[in-house]
Amino acid sequence: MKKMNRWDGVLLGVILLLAIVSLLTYFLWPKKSADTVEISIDGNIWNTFSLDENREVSIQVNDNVTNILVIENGEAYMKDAACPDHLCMKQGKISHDGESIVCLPNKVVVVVTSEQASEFDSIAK
Amino acid sequence: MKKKVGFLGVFLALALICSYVESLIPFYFGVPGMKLGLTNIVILLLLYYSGTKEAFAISISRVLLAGFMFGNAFSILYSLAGGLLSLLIMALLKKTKRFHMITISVCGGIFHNLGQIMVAVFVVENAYLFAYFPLLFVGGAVTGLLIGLIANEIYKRIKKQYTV
Repeated sequence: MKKMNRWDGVLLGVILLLAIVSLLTYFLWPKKSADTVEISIDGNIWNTFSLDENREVSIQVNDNVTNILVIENGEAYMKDAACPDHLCMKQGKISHDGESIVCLPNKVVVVVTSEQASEFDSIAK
Repeated sequence: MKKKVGFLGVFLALALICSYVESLIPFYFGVPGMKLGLTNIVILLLLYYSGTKEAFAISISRVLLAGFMFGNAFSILYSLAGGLLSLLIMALLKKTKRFHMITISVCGGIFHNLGQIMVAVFVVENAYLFAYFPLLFVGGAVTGLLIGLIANEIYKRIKKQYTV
């Protein structure tokens, strides 16, 4: 079985199609500007802040600061984190509705939403 | 039996080395969970040289050992989820005998990332993580393709008769 056959073509074609569709959805999804940053730790909302006020938020769990989020000029980004990979710090600046920064080791999720109740609920246990 | 243990041991060691080398290469695309997946070259080859049981055994062993050596409980969970789902899909596809190794690897890559994101969503209890799905899908497919190409080249050259 060294050559590819029709089945491979079909499956790969489907995958390519799905890839294109999902990428288009991802990049063309209308970005709403929103004004609030919602920070959750371990699935529970910890605090929300307005994107309009510049501030530095020290996210902490039981007096241990785990992440530092900076809100500046309507955008938010992770400035520092006490985790091994620092992937959260590389996720860039978020400012549009639904965008997020995630620090998996510390179970911190920072999401941009609007002042009113968000459309998405967290997953219930 | 002794031959088999030694043979599988070599593959396990290779998989662990791949894990380690991978951790040295900075590979980041803006999404948590993207990896090169070098280890899957070893697992995929093992699936073809030996079989499903052996591939599962070494995959699980690799995740546990690598987790104890370089990672933590959560990294073991994510790796296990991604690795097992990916291997399950690959083994099933292979069983149908209708697909080429490279195609199977592409699917394996996709499901590896899918498994990881599902566990991540479950752990942080936040569905927003699914927004990363398009990038993970494409990333998984592309890395799967690369891994498949490499594994295929190896498989073409190292014949089955040399294996146990």
